[in-house]
Amino acid sequence: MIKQASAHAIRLRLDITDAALVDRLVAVLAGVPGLRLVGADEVADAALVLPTTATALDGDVPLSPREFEVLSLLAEGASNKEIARRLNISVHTAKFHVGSLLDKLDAVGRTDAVAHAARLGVLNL
Amino acid sequence: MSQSPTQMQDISAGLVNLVASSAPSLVSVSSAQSRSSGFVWRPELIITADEALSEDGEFTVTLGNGDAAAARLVGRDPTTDIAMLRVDQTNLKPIPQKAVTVQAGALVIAMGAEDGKPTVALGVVSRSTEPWRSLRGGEIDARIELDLRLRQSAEGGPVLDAAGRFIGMAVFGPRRRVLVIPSSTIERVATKLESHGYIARGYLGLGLQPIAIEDNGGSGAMVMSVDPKGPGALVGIHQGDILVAWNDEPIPHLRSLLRVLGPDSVGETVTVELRRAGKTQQIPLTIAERPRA
Repeated sequence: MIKQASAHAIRLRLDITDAALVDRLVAVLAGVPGLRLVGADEVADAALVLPTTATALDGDVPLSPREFEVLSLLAEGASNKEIARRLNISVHTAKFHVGSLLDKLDAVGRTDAVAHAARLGVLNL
Repeated sequence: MSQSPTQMQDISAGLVNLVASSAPSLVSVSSAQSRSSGFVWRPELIITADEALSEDGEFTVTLGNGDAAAARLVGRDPTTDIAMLRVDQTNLKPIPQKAVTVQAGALVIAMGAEDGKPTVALGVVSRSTEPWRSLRGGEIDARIELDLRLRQSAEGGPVLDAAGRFIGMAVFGPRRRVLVIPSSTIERVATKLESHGYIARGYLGLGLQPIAIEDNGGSGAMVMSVDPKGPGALVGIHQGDILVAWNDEPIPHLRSLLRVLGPDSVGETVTVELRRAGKTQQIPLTIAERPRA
């Protein structure tokens, strides 16, 4: 296979099996200048991996997609009100998610939730 | 056989005195559907638990004499669970404040108020350890947990040691365990809330995804989105750039970035090293204040 050698582009490999996620990432990243997405068997400068593989932690607790979203927002320091607004849920529901998240993380002794959030994916800092 | 009945009475009388002497600093706090407690921090200023305070609406404080007073929100910090209210009452007695350290095993009372009248729980400090970071990234000076059952309405009330010294504010942690927000943390946060109304947080305006970098075995953060009004955009950081170092320090986790974006980081200029198109470059970046939602 012949590919144009772009000497300075960062070669990024997506080590992700979730096809839908790959599609979305490709959509976001394909047009980025200076970045080239490469296939699984090619040499890469960097690889995007699922957060769970990036920093797999012992005793991890399964969280729902909603809880992951809440956790990311918490890591950004969001109040219950902000979480409610960003996720389009009521403050009451946001509080409930925060509480259940705390309990779950506590159950596995991982109250440093920022560590969890940081492996979830994009944080707006 | 008289097995020191007087000692028991002494303890009991001591507790009664403790409660009586602190009661003038206690208030009950009501907002929307929530009832909690608070205490007088400085004249006219009440500290209570942020988590127990409703997001909007009117706040009412009920004093020890049963009088209810309208309260205005001065500020709140969800990261340390501290909120401050102001009441137009100059005759309130602030709780005595002095830096106190408590050890596991110490006897404490947690006080709350219902309709302004004290409610009391007695227990021991079950844990008193190093500083910790809350789920929302607040710096809390000590991890203090209490072995006692706190009634819901007492959340936000003061915790006192056996000498009547103020240790901190009682709040609920995971599984309704009772945590204490230490007095030193309250002092630090409340001082800022009084002057600014909120606790600032550093902001880069970048959506970052942690990634592994193969050639140096390290890790970095890829820029997935750029806030056009943020400080990152201002210095020309683009989507697709990879942040590899911060002030010459590698970036092992995003949480290391969270840590350096604390309240004191705003206005600070740092050097970020990033990779773009295979080249590494150093860019000075001035940390902005996170926009308030």
